[in-house]
Amino acid sequence: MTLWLIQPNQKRLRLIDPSFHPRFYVQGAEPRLRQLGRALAARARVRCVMAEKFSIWDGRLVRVLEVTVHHPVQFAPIARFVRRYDTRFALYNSDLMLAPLYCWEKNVFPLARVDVETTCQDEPIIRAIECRDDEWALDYEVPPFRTLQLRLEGLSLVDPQHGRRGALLAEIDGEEQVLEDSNEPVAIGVERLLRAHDPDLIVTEWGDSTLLPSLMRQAQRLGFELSLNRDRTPVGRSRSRSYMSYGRILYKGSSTTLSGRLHVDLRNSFIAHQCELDGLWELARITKLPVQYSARTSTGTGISYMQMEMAYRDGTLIPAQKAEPESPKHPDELLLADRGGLVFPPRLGFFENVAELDFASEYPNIMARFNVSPETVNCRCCPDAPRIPELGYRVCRQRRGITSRVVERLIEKRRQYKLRMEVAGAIPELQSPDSAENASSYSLRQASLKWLLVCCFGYTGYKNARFGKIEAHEAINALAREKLLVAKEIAESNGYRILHALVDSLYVTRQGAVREDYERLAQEIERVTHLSLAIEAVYRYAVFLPSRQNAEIPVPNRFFAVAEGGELKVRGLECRRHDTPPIVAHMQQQVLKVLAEARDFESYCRKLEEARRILDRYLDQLADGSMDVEELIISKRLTRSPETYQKDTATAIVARQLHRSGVKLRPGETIEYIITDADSKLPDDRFRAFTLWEAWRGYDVRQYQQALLDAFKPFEHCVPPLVRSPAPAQAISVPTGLFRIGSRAFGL
Amino acid sequence: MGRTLATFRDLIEQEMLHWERVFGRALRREERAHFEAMFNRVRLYIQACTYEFPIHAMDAINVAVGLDHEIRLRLIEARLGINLENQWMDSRSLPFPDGDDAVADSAEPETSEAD
Repeated sequence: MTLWLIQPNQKRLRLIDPSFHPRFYVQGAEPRLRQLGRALAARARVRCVMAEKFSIWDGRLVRVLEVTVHHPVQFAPIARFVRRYDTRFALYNSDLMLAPLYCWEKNVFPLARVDVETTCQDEPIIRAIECRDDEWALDYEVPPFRTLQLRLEGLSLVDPQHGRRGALLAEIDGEEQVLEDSNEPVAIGVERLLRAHDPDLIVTEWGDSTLLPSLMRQAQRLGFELSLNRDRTPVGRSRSRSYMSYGRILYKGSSTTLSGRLHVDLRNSFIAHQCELDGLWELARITKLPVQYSARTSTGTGISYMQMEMAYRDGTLIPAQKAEPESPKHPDELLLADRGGLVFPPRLGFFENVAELDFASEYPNIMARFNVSPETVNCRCCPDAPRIPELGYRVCRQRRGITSRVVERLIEKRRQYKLRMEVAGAIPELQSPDSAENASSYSLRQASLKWLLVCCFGYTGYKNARFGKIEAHEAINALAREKLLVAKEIAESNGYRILHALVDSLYVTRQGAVREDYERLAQEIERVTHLSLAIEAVYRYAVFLPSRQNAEIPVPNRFFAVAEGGELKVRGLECRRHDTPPIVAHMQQQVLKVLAEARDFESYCRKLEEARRILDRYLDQLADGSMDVEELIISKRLTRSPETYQKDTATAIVARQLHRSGVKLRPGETIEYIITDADSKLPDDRFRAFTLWEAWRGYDVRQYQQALLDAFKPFEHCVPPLVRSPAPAQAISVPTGLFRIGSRAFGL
Repeated sequence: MGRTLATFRDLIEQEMLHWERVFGRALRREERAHFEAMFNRVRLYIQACTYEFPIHAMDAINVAVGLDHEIRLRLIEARLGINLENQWMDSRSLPFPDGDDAVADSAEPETSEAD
């Protein structure tokens, strides 16, 4: 196992730990296991002994063959050999990643502070390693990384593989350099930076799929090797792929990982995108997955590894593939069991004085509080255990579930972070630049834990999850429905009206109720349901909106609300969607900012007048051509390969344009385009890929204006028709300095 | 949820399409618009339908349609300031007219004293 460390004297060390010998377990008929042991000993350096370990599902001890592999690199090939040797064998702990296994064995974790005893050689070898850090600590120091940032000039949202060109911007030690081929090949410039600064961390945008591979190719053409890795191992590359998840096609870009340095591509990392680097460090520390892997994998993998660590420490066998199929069910039972959380569609319109009560991390809390874990639901040891409402499933009373224990720690750590955030925000003396930094860091870290918790519930029902069992998933849902109904009943019996309820949150109102009343209500619900319930906010007003197709029918999660302090909560509006052009999103955000100043319905109507002037400004800007074209970009995800689209939809037309220009597109990738002339008879003239767009193509003023007007409608929904804005003028005067044909504006 | 089994929202849609094919074909144009609206309004009570989840979705849809009519009827009454409940919900028979006849003849037109 190779470890990279930063010494207090800033020296970077590459250390080898030869004492790591990973183990896996094989279950089968004992004579066959003994034969296997002999066959393995003849082939590789292994140690085979019979051992007793716990089975995950019934908690009983089972006899297994323990295979200890001397060289970690042989771990996977030997496990493969065993699988082929006898297909009747059940393998455990055999397909785990080596890095977390090493961490579990040596009680260390990525980015931890450690004491190491080594030999005094050129290539030092670890004699002993001791962790001086705690992954559950709230305050910790991140290693003092030297960071190099690399990105292409221009709009970072657009994939450079789709034809975006620009100079390479490199930033290190707060100094930015522009690297362009016109001076010297960019690869030489980057190599110079690498040698001069020897960065530990390279943060890029599109580095995985484009920047680093292109730089390596250029360096190769010039006859030198880019020193991206600190040792002589080749740079790790993996291919991109498209895959289906929850009925949607998604795309995962290729990856470029380094040895001795960390490479994080902000455009290919869910967690770095959501929770920045602070969230990534937190995740790597507690999941014990290597940082570069954590950055690129789903949080589900992280939670799986945390569960596996718990099982490993218990001496429980970790099944190689998912071993627990769904129990057979009668169709009535399936109807009853296969349901999600409850959603009460909102009452439409404008409501004053609305409180949002949230069950804090409800699903993880249910798992922790009621011991719901895949191995505890319908266990064989507790036939008389209390039943889950609606379903009648039992939950074990003797064993504490693995998932329950994992989420318990996560919930607690997240709670502590949230407390610290509140303290940092509430005490003005603590609001120094340092504390502000801390508050934002705590906020990012708690957000990364939130993603782990969210996944934890989902994974109980995921078909490939090792610790998945659909009955656990169903039990959690049933409990959540029960708790929400109990909460609703308590609220109604106290005279509150339920405006909207969404799985784990309730929007309630009562005339004249003040915050203290809502707090009392929350406490009562908390006391009866045994789940913590908090007031997320008391809103001055909330506007619940109907479906876009049918103005009579409410849809869940489409509303905006303004809290007591003026903070906005917006759900389901265009500005929250990823395929909305920035111009529309910006208009809505500005309008919402104005509307947030209203206190009641009367002032809302007044503010709406002001908001309309914002809309008019945007409409005018579109018409006179002063709008920046980047504001008009629409992003869409490809659902298939460009050549297989049947109809001339915008996505199909743009995908074909890019395809013709030599861009390789895969299903699930995102493409960006501009509406040029939506009514054109020639499909190709209707839309243009952003990277192929040129000023003479112009943009379709009417379409974008219509999008603005549509996006303004939600704000007018709750006011009587007389107060609404008049229909837009169809004819728009031709502004000077802009060349127009029909409804198109051409920037000159 | 939504994968092994259809969601109730999908079921409403399916039932509407199913009933539209034959039942809807024999409706007049002006009736069809209301037919669709009736199904759409079931979505207002979707949480109760989901919670009940009967084997036949139409059972819950029927109850939701009835409930919706009940609620809207009461709203209309309130708006008009009338209360039909006393007349419609009263299970007792209508008051007998004074006289010796055992059965009141409701078909007989009332005659005013002026006559």
